[in-house]
Amino acid sequence: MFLKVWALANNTFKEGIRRRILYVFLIASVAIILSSHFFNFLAPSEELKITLDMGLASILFFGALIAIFSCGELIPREIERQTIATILSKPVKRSEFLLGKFLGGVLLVFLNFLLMSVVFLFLVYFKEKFISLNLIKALILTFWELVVLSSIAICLSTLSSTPAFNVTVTFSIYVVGHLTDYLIHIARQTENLFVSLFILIIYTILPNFNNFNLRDKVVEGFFIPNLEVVKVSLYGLVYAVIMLGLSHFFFKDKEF
Amino acid sequence: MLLRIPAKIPLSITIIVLFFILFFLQNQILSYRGLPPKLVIKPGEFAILVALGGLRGVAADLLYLKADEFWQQGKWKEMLSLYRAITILQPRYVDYWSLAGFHLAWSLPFTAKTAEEKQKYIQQGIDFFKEGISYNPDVYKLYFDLAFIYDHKFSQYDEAIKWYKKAAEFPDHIPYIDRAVAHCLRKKGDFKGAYEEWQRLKKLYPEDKDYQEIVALNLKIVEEELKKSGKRQ
Repeated sequence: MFLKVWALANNTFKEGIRRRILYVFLIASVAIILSSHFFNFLAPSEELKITLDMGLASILFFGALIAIFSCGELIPREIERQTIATILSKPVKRSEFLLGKFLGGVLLVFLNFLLMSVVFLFLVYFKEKFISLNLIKALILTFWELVVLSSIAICLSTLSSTPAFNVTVTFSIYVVGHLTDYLIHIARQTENLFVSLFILIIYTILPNFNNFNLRDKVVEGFFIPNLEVVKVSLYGLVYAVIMLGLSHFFFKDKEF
Repeated sequence: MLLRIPAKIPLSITIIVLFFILFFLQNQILSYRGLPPKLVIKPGEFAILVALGGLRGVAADLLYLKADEFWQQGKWKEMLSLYRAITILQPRYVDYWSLAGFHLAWSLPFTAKTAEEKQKYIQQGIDFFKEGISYNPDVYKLYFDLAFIYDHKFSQYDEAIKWYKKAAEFPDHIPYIDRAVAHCLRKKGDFKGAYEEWQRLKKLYPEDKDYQEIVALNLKIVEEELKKSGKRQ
């Protein structure tokens, strides 16, 4: 099974790196990270903050675009080119196909994320002659956020074969996922038990992307416990597994 | 006869169980983060937060650059409205609260034409610091900033001591805060209390020569004031 999944992932990855749009995102991201260096003279007291804010935000934002565009189109493209029928006519299970596509997409996201992170860390080291462990932890969780986003994109692409729909909805979920945190206030303030329960269910179902946000803590210099990073990573892993489970649920009986 | 269970049922049950695990993990994560800041904001501002998603830090930086420009041009009111927006975007970044509160309590009163206007700005600075503390109760700096205003702008020493002491509870506080309590006690005329406080402070950093010199000097001053007040009585 593993070999089949790996072959599919490898193939997806190779196909993905040929797409020019991803290079555009990568170049834009690197340009913004490097340009943060030139903003510093405007606010000398906030030099490091601006570099960290701009660097981490660019990695997240462009990483998210790469994840959405690469993973959201993986399955619709196979359907459009009718290659999916050829693949599934071979002794490849649908679950293996999904997993292979997902891993290939994540590998592509990881490569881009790695390149952006290296440029960013180089810039921070160039300025500070030091890279804090907090920064590495923030980057690890940013990557998990991108994995979750990739899994959502894959899940949506099993529902709809229109790439534009997948990209739009995944991007909307990405934006809403940064505000899920505030639902907990609404749930606690509501006196009606059923409404409160309903909000808690929505709160659990929607991804909480703020969990992955250590960016503010890094900038503010707070201590970040290792266990916190482990638990958030676990949250990311479980969410991605759920999304893959749902993808399998929708994809299992789909006809092509 | 064996009952055939549709393949989707075990998968559905697994997904539901995983959602319960997710809920448990979410609560675990909340124990590290605490509840998110309860933002009292207008719908329009909320819409901006929605649109920005995870890019609030960058937006705050750009607004900060503009606020800095306004400060240099002496456009105080424009600058302060930008700081209000900045603290909505990044309420957990203490320096923004500190800087805006400083401008309200220290810079703006110099532009005031009347004493009432001056007091109004200082009071706004106090309110601003208190709001900042509600978002950042675990950082000593804003407690110190607040105490400093009560101490030097209003001469309300009891209030100043209260906030200095709160700031001093944090292990990373600057040593000056300990001394500020003793200074306030002396300024309000409690020489005995000030003397006891300086005696306590003397034991804190026995190896720091500069610190010991400052303490010795202040002890001497308070001793003399104690003697004078004794004679007066």
